[in-house]
Amino acid sequence: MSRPGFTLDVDERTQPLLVAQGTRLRLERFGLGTHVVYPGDGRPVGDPTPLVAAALASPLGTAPLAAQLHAGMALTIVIGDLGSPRPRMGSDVRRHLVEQVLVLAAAAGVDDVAVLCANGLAKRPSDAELTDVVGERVVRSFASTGGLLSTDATDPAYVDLGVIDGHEIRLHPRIAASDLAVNIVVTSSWSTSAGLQLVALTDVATLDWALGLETSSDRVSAVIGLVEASVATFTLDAALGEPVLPDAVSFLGRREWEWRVRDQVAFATARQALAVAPKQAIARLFSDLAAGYPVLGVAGGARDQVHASMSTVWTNAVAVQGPPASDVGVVNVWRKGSLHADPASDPLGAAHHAVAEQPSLVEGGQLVRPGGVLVGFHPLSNRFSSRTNSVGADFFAEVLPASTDPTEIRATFQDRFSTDPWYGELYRGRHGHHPLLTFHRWYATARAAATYADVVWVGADRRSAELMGFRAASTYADALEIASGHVGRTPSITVLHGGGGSVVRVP
Amino acid sequence: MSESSQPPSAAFGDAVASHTPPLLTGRIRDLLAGKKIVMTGVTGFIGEQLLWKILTELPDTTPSVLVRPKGSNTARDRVIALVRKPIFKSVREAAGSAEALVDARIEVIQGDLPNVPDLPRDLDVVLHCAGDVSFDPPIDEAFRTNVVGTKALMDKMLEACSDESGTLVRIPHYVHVSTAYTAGRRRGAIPEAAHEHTVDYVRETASALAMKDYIETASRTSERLAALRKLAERDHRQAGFLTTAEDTERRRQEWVKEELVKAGTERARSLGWTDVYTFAKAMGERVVADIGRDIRVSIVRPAIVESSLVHPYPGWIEGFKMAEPIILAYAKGTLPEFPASPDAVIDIVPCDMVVNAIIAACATTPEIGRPEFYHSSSGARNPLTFRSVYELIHEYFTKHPYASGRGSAPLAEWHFPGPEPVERTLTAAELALKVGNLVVSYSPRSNRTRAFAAMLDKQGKQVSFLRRYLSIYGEYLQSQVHYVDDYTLALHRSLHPDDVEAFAFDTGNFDWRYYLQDVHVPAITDPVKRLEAARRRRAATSTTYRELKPTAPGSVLAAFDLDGTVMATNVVETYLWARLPELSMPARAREVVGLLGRLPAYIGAERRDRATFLRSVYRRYEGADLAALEDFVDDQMAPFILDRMSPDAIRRIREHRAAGHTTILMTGVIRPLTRPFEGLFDVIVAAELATDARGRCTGFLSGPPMVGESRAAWLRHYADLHQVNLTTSHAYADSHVDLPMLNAVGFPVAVSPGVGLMRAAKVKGWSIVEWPVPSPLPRWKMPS
Repeated sequence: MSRPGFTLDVDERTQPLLVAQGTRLRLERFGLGTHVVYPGDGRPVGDPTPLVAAALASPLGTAPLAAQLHAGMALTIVIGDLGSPRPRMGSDVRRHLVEQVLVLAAAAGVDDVAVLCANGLAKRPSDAELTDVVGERVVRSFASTGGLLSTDATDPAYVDLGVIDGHEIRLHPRIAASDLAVNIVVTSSWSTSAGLQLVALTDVATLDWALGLETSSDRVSAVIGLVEASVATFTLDAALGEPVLPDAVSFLGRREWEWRVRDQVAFATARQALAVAPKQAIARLFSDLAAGYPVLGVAGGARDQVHASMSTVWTNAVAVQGPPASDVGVVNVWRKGSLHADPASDPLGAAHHAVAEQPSLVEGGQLVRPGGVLVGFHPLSNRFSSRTNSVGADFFAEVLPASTDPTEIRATFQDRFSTDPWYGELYRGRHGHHPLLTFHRWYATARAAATYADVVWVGADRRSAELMGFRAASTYADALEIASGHVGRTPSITVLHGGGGSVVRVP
Repeated sequence: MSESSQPPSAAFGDAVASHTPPLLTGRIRDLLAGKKIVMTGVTGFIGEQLLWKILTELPDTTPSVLVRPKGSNTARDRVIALVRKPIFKSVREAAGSAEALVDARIEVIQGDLPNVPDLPRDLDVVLHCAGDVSFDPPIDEAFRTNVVGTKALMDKMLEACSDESGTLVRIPHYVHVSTAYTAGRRRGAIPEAAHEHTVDYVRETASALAMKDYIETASRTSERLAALRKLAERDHRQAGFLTTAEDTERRRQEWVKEELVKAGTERARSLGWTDVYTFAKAMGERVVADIGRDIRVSIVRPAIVESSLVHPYPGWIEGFKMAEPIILAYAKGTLPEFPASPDAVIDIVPCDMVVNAIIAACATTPEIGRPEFYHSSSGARNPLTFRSVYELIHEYFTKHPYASGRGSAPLAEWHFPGPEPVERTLTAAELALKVGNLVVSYSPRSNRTRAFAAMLDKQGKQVSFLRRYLSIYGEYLQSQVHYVDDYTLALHRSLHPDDVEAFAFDTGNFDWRYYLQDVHVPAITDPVKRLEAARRRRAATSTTYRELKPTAPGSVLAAFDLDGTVMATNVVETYLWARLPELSMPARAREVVGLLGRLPAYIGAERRDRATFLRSVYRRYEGADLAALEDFVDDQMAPFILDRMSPDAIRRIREHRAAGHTTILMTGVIRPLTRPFEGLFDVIVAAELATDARGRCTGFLSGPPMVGESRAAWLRHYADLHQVNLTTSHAYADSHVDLPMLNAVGFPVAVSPGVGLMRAAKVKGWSIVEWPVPSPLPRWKMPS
């Protein structure tokens, strides 16, 4: 049986605890009284097939999917957010979801079926990446008929959907021409949802309007409403629990005082290997890392009901009772660290994950009080992929030295970057991210960072930290020393162990 | 100083005067009043001060200066520029302007040695102080300036003083500035008299001038040219024939010069002189005695002329002389030991004393047909040994370090072990450099290799400086002579009491500590420090990698090399990526093993000639389907290729495009592999694979691969066709092969260069940038 997560209060007997600093692992001793939030144990993985079948047969708020399918209709299966969860699923549950929908479609005699990846501004997946998600069978049968699609938000063929607040909303042509869209999502965080996946089907201007600098839930809801008004949708959502890591790195998810000799050896080996291995080998190691995720539940039907149900299921399963808002929050980055599989490759992604994402997984309050300090563990090396994130490198070299302020960046740089032909070519044809994604992420990072008095990075590249408006410290103790100017000598500290991913319930 | 001052002259006791030189019989300004002095060499170090002295101290004397036009500057322009120098400030201001000063006081004769024009018929004194200052000129040049030039000048002087029938109607006074070192390898006390020898200057001059043609001819023999070409090929073969040819010709000219220098040195030594400079000067003295047998002649022989003691101000010096390189090298800590004899005398004489002695000699009236000799030297009565120099300099730089902080160096302790140990160290250092360079030439390209090569170059420079210095001055460092200066002293003592302050030249009564520490060393280090600071500033600001300014579209181009510059890969690797996936497993294994087996041959080909190498690799494409290859590149390889691009390179390319420049990719890789770059470059020049009727590659190229000089030629032709200005264009490359391409444009940049290109870039002052390529995937990961 798996145990739920809990909060450890560090006392004299507490040994040094595992910290991941990008691709480096180390044991760090935390001060007395530090609250360390541990996620729950991963659960063994069962067969999700019956859950999926049940969800399709008895959906929430709509007729069963089989009843909605009929010959001659155009059916589109929408998948999305291939970047999460991280580590990726060893056997992706979306494959079961897609396959069962296809079985029903075949039974109903639906011929016009397409699988559409709603990647929005994120990179368009390669066939290999799609294979990881939906399985080789689906890719093989759809790729040859041209039924395997991914969205290109800059495509001029997008069709007009309507106008909100004077803003024109345009939709992917395949969806606009579909009689039914089956929207397949996995719930493993709050940043992915069936609604957002529908937004990802709109054009680049809408994506910027809804998710950019002036993003608001009203705008997002309005766009979702407009999409749902124009095409019938059926949402299919699977909630995932805590991952079960492969044996070689299972120590990462295990509590340090429960480490067996095997874990000790594995840790020592991993630590040494990561310290000496070439960067590329490490990157490959992390990109190949796959974990098993238990499926907590699957629901189908109307989007709002499915979403409410699955987020409750997921939140209840991964929530951990945490301490009240503290002066200092400590996060480390390894698991969902970036746009890439390589957690060390991208300082902007690491900052977004540590500053904007992790601390936001909190229910009932805040992890760190306003005016507190956030401490992150990451090297922030100035490395960007020339293909997938060419814009990130330029953002670092051109934009950040000029300003870190979102409003100014939006006014000065965003339009030039987003219409740049080379970035456009990389996004459309070379599986690169759209430049706006980097901007949007930075806006979120900067907005979140503004709530802290300081963000301090342990072991980080000083120049990178400075460029982003953060501080760099060589050790954890130095980071606290820097923080002491804002929070005093005896701050309350909360550490998110294991790279986050749990929801912290704050009293 | 540690030595007790017992000058060499003291051992001889008081002289019983066998000859009394003509003395000064009044104030110099009166003695030379109304006289016209024809001067040579006023643009030189001593000449400049002579002119200054005449203008400031001899108001009624007319200097008539023989000056060579230089470029578009006439002789008059040059003299005007000369009197604009700071030391002429007071006379210039008194006259109103530089032009006014020249018009009022100076007569300018445009001419050259040995092509001397007619001299003014009213000349009274001819003061010849032009001469080669180099110690190791080619033998023909040494004789042309010092012998032929002197003879021509004297002939013209006699012509100006004779009537139509050639009869001398006026007796001029010819004053000749020679050097104390015309004594050659003689030892001990050198008297102020003509040196005894039987060398025939006419014959020596004829042979010296003939030597030039002889060695020119020898340099053009097939054996010689072949040997030089081999040397040039070693460095430049990859870059192409023209680059090699250029280098061969440069080497030939260098060889001719070296041989002429050697010929001079050896001929000088075979007759008892140290080098061709002093030999030719000695021959010059013979010319003077010969042609001047019917007139008044004075010969002044200065020793090592260094900065002024008093006039025009303490420390006045122009250019570098013999002692400065050593003083500076010592100050910079690059001279750990010095092969001089500690007790050898370095015969330094301040410039103003030489100038004063020359002017005093001009004011005398020597007996007709009896040349007077004056040594302007310090060794006889106020000797300065190398050990004293060392101690004084050491003391000075201890108190006033040459540089502070990072640039500072510990001062060496010299023990004067003699020439042999220093020679051994030097030889060992040269050998070590050779080995180091060999290692570098076989090392893989990396930051570390470049840093090591840069260190080798720096030390090589020091070693070759020392080697050259010793080869020129080595013998003077063991000097065992002193130049008797009794006549000079007698002349000094005859100065009118009112002239002593302005014209003193008694080298026996000044203090070396004062001269070196307060006058000379500050005078030479301060300007060098300023110069170096300026050079550093210049190097920091003037680079060929600069911010791009928008230009009219298409008027400027930016050419980029691919492999190693924009992208981290090589043709063998890309070949494997492209070729293997379409083969079966056993065929893949065969292919890889076959390729590995050929690798040494490929590496050898690459070192010899890049085009041959490319051809031999591309032969392996034989049988590949070109269309399939293109599809494969688009679908599978593009991400691999793009992942290996350098972000800095991409940014730079895009900056060029934003500035309206035409971006050009020049590469030896095959066309299909450049498809992912089509969005970045306006023009892509790549190797084209030839195909047969079925679209299969034949393994041959449809044209020669674009490497080395072909790239430069391509760029030039493209520029012509599209009205592109190459002098404002840019090029980026990483390897020595691309030298011609970089040379073709105005702003070449070496990107993470190999050692060969790094060296070339440093010589040419090109920017060197690092564009790291962070490959997100391991090298061995294949597209599948």
